[in-house]
Amino acid sequence: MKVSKSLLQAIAVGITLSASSASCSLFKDEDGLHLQTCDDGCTLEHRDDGGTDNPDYNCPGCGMG
Amino acid sequence: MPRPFAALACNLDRNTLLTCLPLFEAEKVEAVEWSFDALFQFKEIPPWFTGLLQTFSRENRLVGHGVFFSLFSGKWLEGQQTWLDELKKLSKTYCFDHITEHFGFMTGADFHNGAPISLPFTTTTLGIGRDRLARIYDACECPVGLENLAFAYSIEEVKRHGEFLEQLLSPINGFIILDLHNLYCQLHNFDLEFADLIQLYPLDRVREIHISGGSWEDSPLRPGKPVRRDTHDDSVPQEVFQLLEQTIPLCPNLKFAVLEQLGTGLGTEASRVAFQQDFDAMSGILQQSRDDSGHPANAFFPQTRPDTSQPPIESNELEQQQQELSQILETATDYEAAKNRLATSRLAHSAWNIESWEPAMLETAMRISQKWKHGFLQTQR
Repeated sequence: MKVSKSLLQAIAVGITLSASSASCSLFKDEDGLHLQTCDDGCTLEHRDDGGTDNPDYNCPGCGMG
Repeated sequence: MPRPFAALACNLDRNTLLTCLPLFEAEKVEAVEWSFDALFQFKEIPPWFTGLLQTFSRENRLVGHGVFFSLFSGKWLEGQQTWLDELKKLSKTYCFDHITEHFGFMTGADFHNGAPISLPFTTTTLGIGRDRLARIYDACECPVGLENLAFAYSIEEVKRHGEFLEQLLSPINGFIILDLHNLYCQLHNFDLEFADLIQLYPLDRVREIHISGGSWEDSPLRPGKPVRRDTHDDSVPQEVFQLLEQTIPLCPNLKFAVLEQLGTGLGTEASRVAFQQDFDAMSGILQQSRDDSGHPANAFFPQTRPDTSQPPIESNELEQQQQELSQILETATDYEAAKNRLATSRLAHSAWNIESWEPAMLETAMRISQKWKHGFLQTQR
């Protein structure tokens, strides 16, 4: 199927600029500071748990294990 | 049968998109499968990605593949209602040709803390599954399907899976995603022949086929015979392409064939080229199946709109069993510990039939559960 050239160019630029994958995440926000399981008042920094410094995780979007 | 569309599982993942871009440029991709619920938590999605989805949506070539609904949770979860609400909104934005989910349940505190694992085929689970499928249809108002599971605890479970899918799906005239790599796992893990296994599925309900790769995992419980796992992190084995060739003629209502691979398996140029070659190989097989004899006989819409006015069906007993099983699988240190804890659990001498579970498969269930519990870090399988 045809995808317009301008859209393909936008995708190419978009994926070049994106630093990490974002198909799903353990993290509540994209800064990777808090996990989804953190309470709203959580004061711990969770980046060391694999936040934006370690963005590669297996998105389970299709791989069920 | 019209020729099925050659499709890609395409999510907002840098490696995946880098790999798929040349295929889009060459106009080889005829449809896209999107795991829409992986993005529910994101406030903003890049416009170039929504543009891609809209391109395929406008041509009725976009299909939605849910992951996190947890179809068989014994208790109705707040997250499930949120999931349905989000799906309803998305279905107004995109024209999904169909929506699918996975067989199984998750039990974690949120949808990222719990493995998709199997469950007994009983009247209770049948009732819950039918109830949830009806609610999914009510939200999306397009055909709804379920994917066959790769994992099974025992050969008896493998043999009954197709029949149970038929019972689940028939009230809404739903369909099956037949994942051929999942079948490949079962053929190997349970020493089955393809001809024997495939006939146990209601093949007239197959609207979509998945192919993918996976991995082998050694088990001390089964020396010399590693367990095949559906990890989607490698290219498609030749045997799975052969299964595709054998299966297509058996599925008169087949509409889409989807190639899947995780972005983490596409980090090198060689892996990307291998994926593109896999896509070409899949397309070539689909081209050979061309037969312009009109539309598939079954459009997979229910004959009457399902009644979802009653409260969701729940089972406290099932919920307690699921929680206990998940807790054991996620925390047991080894197979013996898991086996001993299960023997004194609510699942002992129940419909779960844990007494007949294959040791290597129980060990595999632990590995899958612990992988999901710890969040799919790249080093884990």
